[in-house]
Formats: sequence, structure tokens, C-alpha cells
Amino acid sequence: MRTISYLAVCVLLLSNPVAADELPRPLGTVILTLTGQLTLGNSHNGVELDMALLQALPTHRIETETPWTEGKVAYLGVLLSDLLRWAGGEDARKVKLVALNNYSATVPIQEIRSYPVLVAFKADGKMMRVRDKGPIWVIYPLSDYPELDTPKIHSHMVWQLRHIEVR
Amino acid sequence: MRSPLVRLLPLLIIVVVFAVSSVVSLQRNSEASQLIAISMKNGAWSATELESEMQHFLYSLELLPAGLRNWMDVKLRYDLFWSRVRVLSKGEENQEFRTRAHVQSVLDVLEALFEKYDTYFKQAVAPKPEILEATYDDFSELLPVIREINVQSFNGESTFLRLERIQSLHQEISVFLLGLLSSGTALILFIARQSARNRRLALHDSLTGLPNRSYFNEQLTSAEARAFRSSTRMAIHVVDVNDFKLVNDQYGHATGDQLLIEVANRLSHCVRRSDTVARIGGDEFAIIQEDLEGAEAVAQLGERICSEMQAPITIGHESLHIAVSVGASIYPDDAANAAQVIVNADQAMYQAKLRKTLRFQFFDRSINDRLVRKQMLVADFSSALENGELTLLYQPIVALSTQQVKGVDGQVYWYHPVFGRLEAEEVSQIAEYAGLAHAYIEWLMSTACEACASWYCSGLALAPIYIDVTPLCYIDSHLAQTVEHALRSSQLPSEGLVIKVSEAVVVKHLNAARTASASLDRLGVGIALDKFGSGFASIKHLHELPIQLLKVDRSLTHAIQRDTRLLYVIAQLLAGLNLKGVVEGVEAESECAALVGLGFAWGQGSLFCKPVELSALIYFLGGSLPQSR
Repeated sequence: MRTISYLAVCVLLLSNPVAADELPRPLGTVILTLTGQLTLGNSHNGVELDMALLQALPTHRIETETPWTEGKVAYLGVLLSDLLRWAGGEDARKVKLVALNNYSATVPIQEIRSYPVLVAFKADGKMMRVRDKGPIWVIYPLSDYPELDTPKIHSHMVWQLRHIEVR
Repeated sequence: MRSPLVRLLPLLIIVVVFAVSSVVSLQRNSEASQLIAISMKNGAWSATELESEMQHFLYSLELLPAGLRNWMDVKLRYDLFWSRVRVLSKGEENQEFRTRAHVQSVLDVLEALFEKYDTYFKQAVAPKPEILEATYDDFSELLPVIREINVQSFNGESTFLRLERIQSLHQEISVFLLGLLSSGTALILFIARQSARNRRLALHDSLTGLPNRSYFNEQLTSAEARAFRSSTRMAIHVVDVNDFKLVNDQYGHATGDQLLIEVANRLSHCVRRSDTVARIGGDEFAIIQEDLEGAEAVAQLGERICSEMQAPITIGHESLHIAVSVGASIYPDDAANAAQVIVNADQAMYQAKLRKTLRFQFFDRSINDRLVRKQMLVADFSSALENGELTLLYQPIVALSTQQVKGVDGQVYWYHPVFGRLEAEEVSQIAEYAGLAHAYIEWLMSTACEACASWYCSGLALAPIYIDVTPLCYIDSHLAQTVEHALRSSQLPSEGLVIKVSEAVVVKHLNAARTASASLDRLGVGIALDKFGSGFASIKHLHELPIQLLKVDRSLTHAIQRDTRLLYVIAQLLAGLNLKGVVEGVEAESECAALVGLGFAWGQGSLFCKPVELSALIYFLGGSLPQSR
């Protein structure tokens, strides 16, 4: 029995290292945290990102209209699926997106994999301030995929994103 | 007849109501849904969010001096509040919200205040308390208005108006749904009525309104099943208007149609409610009479129909007298199935037509058997003629005193495999029914002439052959031609042939008989009046036709034992007119002696020789007579 316990501890240590060294640590103000079912991390709180870390990931551009803006706006950001893979959250089933004002929405993983869902940090080439729904806004390509233009998807487009809980 | 437009108008109206109801209820429904969505989603939520963000910001300002919130917190709340104001100021989601009373102006004032204090809230450290107080005062001044908007969103006048509008829309939807429902129902009824009418048209005769033949057959099948189950009897009557074609020809088809309608009415009037009257052909009607008590009821109905039709039918200015023929047959007495019963009734009707007085006739099996026999014979006659099933027999005609052969009487018979031996008279009738009389006469003439030539031209005996022809053939203009052809091909002299013509034909078609006799006379062919004394015995014709010889019917010969007066008169008549007589059916010596005594010269009969085949006849003519005497 004791032997089995030791083995279990060893396996845990090897397979799921709390070691924060696997991902680079943020140097600036933390703007986004990820917690939950992640195989990688960079702090005891899971994964923390500053704007520099986020912008270092491969970026994508989506041009779309939204119910809260006028005309098409070009958003620049990181694909939410890329961000999850980078943080070791490939086995996630769903993610809970939480905003600065504690608004939250839970999104199934298929939705993120089937469509290019963006964690946007620039709108029309400008960084977004909190008053402009920044610094991070989850953007769905509503104009490219008309089937997404529904009240349900609108509720998944969380602005002022500050935390992602991976389940 | 109504015009197509008048007939289609109701349908058109129904379809229009249906379409309009459908479209309008759809429109009203989607409008109501939109209004409900607006009320539910935007208005209330946006208003609540605005007030709550403002409260968070003001609260953080209140807590800052006490150190319960830090400056970063306050700045974040400031930005979040501003963000909320911007969300409400832009985009289509909150378009409706911005149109409400005071909303746009409040949003404008808030935007101006944010711009005004932006410089302080950009800085890393908190500004002086006075600034913070001024900020608090400026923003909190708007709190009542924002509260007002929030409350209005839930209970405000516009919300009530919207709710009222939704209610009235729903009422409209109800009305239009009712229209939809009623017009839909009307459409279904319309289709049902139309299909019922179509069914009626398909099963009824359009002229008289009676069931037609196919409906009658349906009814007959079910009536047969009922009769079979309940072991009851039913009768079928077939009714035919006599000489209907004449009415059509004389008065026109319109009058004919009116007549049929009246006949249909009278027939319907004659029957019980449970009976079926149908029009099964042009002027032919049929009746199914169910649940028979006995055959009397059938006769009663048949006679009643005949008498009902006796009253004149007035059409326009014309008063028409018509008669019908009714034939009836009973199931299951006359046949095992209803189809055969109709055939029987039809046959009975044809029998009824032949009657002069009451034109009602029950199906009669013996009539039927005769008809069946006749039909079979007619059908078989053609092959009988081709296959040589007809036989010509020969009976010598002799001088009564010397028994010298003076002629040969040709007699046809047909041995039928089913019905046995048919005599000459029936054979010629069948030939006429079969439409083969001409071919039959050709065969008869050539056979007779060739046979006769075999003894006549060889000098065996100068005895002509006596041949009878069918009544219709005798008066046919082709007869002389046929006779001439037969004579020529057999090389028989014309005096070797005597044509027998029956008295009945002469009486019935005197003029034609006169012409035919004249042309035969020109050919040199002899003419004998056959069966004298069995029919009219018209003396006048003996004088008018070129007759050389008279055959006295066998019925008179047999009377000679009791009474000789009639034959005596005939003998005197023949002597007076200088005609020869042949007495048929001489069977006894005493008869022969009596006939000689009366002055008759020639005779034929079993006393001398039975009818025999050609070879036997030749033998007989040769002088030896093995089979008689």
C-alpha cells in the first residue's frame, strides 16, 4: 500500500510539474490569468500573462461587425484555441470566460475549435482601454459566419476579459 | 347552367381569405415576438447595467478616503462605468434603448463628465479630495434620472404601450387564425362536396339522373350477396322502349331525351323504395327487385310497368304513345349468378318484344335452350359446310301406275355431333341465320347438278332433280346466276333441274317471287310449288307463277284412308290447270291404288324408295331395287 502511494506521488511529480519554469513568466502587469485543467504553468496560480506575452503568440486578424459597434472593425489578437494549446489546456471540455466586472460566460470547446475565436487586444490598430471594452475582448467572426450572429453567441463575446477557467 | 365565374367565385374568395389570413397572422406573430424580445432583453437589462456600474463607481469613491479601496480600484470602476456608457451609446443592440425619454441626453452628459475628469483618472496617484468630491457630486446628480430610466424600463409608459400593442396584436392574430381555420374548413368542405358530386356524376346517368350501368353492376353484386346470405330471391327486369329509334328519327333527339326522362320517372314511380332502377343503355333500363315474396310480385311489377307506359307522354305539342318490353328473370331460380340472370332477363325481353299484346315475359328455359341450340348451330355451320358434313340424299319420284322414275327429289340433311340429324328446313334456316345462305345454295346447286348429270347425261334416266332453296335465296336476285353457273359447270341441261319453292315464300314475297320465277323460267329450269296443302293453299298463285308441278304435302296423303274428298278436289284442280302433281309420303299399296283412282300421276315415298345416297340411287335407276319391295 505504501509502495503504491510513493509511486503515485512520483508519477504526479513527473507528469504534472507545478514547476513554473515551463512557460516564460510575465514581466509587466498581469492582464489575463488561466487556471484549471492545464498541463503547463508559470506561477502557483496557473498561467499568468502580461500584454507582451500575449502579443508574442501568433496573431490573427478578424474584421467583423458587432451589435455594440458601428461598421466593421478590424480586430487583432491571439486565437483562443492557440492560447489554450500554449498553456497546455488541450484536453479542455469547456472554458469559463470572466470579465473585470465579474460578468462571465461558459463556452464549449467545440465552439472554439470550429471557429476562429479571437482574444483581441487591438481594434483598428489601437490598443483597447477598459472604457473601450479592453484590454482584451473575445471576438467571434460574426460577419464571416452568419450562423454565429445569435443572442447566445453575443453573450459569449466577453469584453474586459481578465480570467479564463479551463474545465 | 351557371357560368364558370359564378361557380369559381366562392372558391376564389375562400382561397384569398385563406392566403391573407395566413400572411397576416404570420406578420402579426413575428411583430409581437419582436416586441416581446425587445421588452425582455434590451430595455430592462441595459438600464439596470447602467445604474449598477454607476453605483459601483460611486461606492468605490466613497470607500477611498477610508482606505477600504485603493486608487487603482477606483480607476478601474471609472473605466468600467465609462465602458458601459459607451456600450449604450453605440451599436444596434441598444438602439431602441437610446430612443427612450431622457436616455440620449443622460448618456451625452455622462460622456461629457468622463471627458472632464479623464485627466485626473489617468494619473497614477489620487487627486485632491475636493476633486474627488466634485466628481462624486457631478455623477451622483444624475442618479435620480438614471433610476427613473431604470424604473421606466420595467414599468414605464412605453412598456405598457408595447404590452398593449402585443395584446392587440394577439387579438388580431386570433381573428386571422379564426379566418384561417374557417376558410380551411370551407376549403375541405368544398373539396368534399366536389368529390361527392364527381362520384355522383361517375355513377349516375346525366340525362335521367338514374344510376348508370357501372353503378347498377355494383348494386347488383351487393344485392346478389344479400340474397345469397339471407336465402331470399331477387328479380332482374330489363325494360326496353319499343321502336325508340323511330321516335328519335321522327321527332329528333331532344324529344327522344325527354321521352327517356319520362320513362325513367314512371319506372321510378312503379318500384318500391328498396328496389333499384338504372339506365343501362340507350333506351334500355334495368330494375333490381329484392326480397321477393313470390313470382307473382315479379309479374305484378312487370305488368304494372307495361300499363304505366300506356298513358300518352306529352312532349311540347306532341302526344306520344309508346310501349315497352319487359323481361324478367329470378335469382337464384333461373341462374346461379346475377350476371347470368341479366342475360336471361335480356333474352326474355326480346321474347316479349315479339308479342303483340302484353309485353311482359318471364325467362323461359325452353326458349333459352332453343336459343342456345340455334346459336351453336349457327356457329358450327360454316365449318360444317367446308368439311362436307352436309349430305344430299335422293328419293325417286315415280309414275304411280308404272313405277317408272320420273324425277329425283333431293333432300339435304346435316348430322351435327351434338344435336344429331337436322332436316333440310332447319338447315336452310341455320344457313340464313349464319349469313351463309348464298354459299349453301352454291354448294347445293353444284352437288345436285353434278349428281343429276351423272345419271341424266349418261342416259341412265331422264329424271330431273328437284331441289329446294332457302326462302331468302329464292327471292334473291343472285339465284338465277347461281343456277346457271351450276348447270354450266356440270353440263346438265336446264330441264334436268326443278326448283322447289315453298308456298309460304310465294305468299309472303309475291312480287320478288314472281321476278325470280320469271328468270328461272327463262333459263328453262322447272319450278315446283312445294308443300301444297300444308299452308295457305292459295290457288291464285298457281295461275300467276310459271309453275309446272305441284308437290302435295305428306299430311294430306295420310288422310286418304279416312277421307278422299280433299285430294279429289286437288286432283281436279291440277287436271283443270293442266299441272302435274307429285304426292309425297306414299307408304302403302292401298294409298297408291287410291291415288291412282283419284287421277294422280306421280308420287314418292317409302313404298317405292326411301331417300338414299347417290350410289344407291344409281343402283336403283339401273333397274334393280334391292332395298325396297
